[in-house]
Amino acid sequence: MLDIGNVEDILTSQLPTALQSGKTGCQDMAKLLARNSDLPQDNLDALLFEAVAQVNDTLFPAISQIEMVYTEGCNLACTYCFEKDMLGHRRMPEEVAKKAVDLLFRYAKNEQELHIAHFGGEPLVNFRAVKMTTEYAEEKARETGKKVCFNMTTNGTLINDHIAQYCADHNIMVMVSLDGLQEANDRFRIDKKGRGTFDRAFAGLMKLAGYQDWVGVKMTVMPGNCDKLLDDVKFLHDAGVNQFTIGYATGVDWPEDERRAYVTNLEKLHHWYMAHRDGPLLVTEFEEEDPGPSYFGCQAGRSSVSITVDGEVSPCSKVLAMDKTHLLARLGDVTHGLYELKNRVDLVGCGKLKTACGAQGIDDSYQGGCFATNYEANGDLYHPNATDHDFSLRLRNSCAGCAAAG
Amino acid sequence: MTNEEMQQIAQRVATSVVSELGGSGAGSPVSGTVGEFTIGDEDASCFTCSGRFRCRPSFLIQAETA
Repeated sequence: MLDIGNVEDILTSQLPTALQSGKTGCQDMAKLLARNSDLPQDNLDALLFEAVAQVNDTLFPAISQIEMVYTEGCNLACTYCFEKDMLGHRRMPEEVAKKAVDLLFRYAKNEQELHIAHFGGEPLVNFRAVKMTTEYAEEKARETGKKVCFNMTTNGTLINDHIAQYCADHNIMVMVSLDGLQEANDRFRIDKKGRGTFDRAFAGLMKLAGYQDWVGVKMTVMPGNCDKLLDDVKFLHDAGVNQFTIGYATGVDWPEDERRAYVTNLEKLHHWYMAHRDGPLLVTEFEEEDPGPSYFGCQAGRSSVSITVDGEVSPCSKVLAMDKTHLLARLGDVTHGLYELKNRVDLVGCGKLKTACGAQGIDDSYQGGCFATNYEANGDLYHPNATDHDFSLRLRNSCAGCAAAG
Repeated sequence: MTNEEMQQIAQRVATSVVSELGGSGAGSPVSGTVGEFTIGDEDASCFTCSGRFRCRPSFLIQAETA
């Protein structure tokens, strides 16, 4: 058996090759260390994790946000759900959740404010994991002197007094997916028996509003639902909702007249918002800074990652849902960290994306869009999606300077 | 193996690995001039600039074009 010095020699000589070989290389590396050392497996895993983390520290920006996919299960069956091919019954074990939080704090470098997104499937199907992760992260934040912020995306139908109270007590910013009032919402957001879900989701939303002042809604706008947008936002705002995240549905056909209707109604909403923004109201799309044409890609894989139920690390929850048989642009796992360096290079450096945009002559006006919707449209994360580019141009021309232009 | 020993080993391994990959100096959080840009900020790290500046380690550039 080899001593610690020889373990270091093996790591030094083999790790560069392993890191360029991705998953297989790192697994082989871990096995090689185990075969040739008396050290406990936990120690060897921790050493490999730390070495890989320090390589990432040197080459890449900090990770300041993780999305936690606590479950692949959902109690609804929304027709447009980007995860519908991924959904199943697996849930994230406690050990994986804790390792994911450890990864966030280790890869945060000097970042002082970290973010954990409670996600699914429907995260409230596995509320036990939400609580455990929240409290473990709070403990880590106290130990390290960092601040940790929480948000959760939920369909709202499972929110009860206990959950609403817990979210308020732990400052979890809850965003309820709701596409508008009953008419708009229930066309697509249905349960497994085909029934509309507005009444149940709205009841959950109101339950939340009874425990906290800041209540959010995520609205997905489908073709055919554009005309109700402003009226629905006004109603929900009057009912107590003060944060809105609004986006057009992806992966569906958008005829020309519906594209025009979306932009026209978003512009109406923009005008209404500008007249009301002094109050307790936030429409995310109109507030995020436009990063400018020199910034390619997005936070996925750069400063944010998503953790699957079995502890694999993906750039984001939407990318991981794109192919249920193969994790696209996989970055690593919670045991050994982000060892798939070439994938992180592609996501952060965006060389392929810039080249593809340049080939289409759009690299001066477009930052490459969303990796997941690029894949959805073209089967390639780094090939820009023409629909997204078209919406980007329309929105930029419509409400200049607003971040909805993407 | 204590935590301190592990940190020290990992640091030596990482330094060696980054050098082996072609990332020595460039983009590291150290002062120095790389190509046409000077990196003097402790927070400077590769890709923070989204690749606008050509100061990236050769390994990473190779990987992008591979």
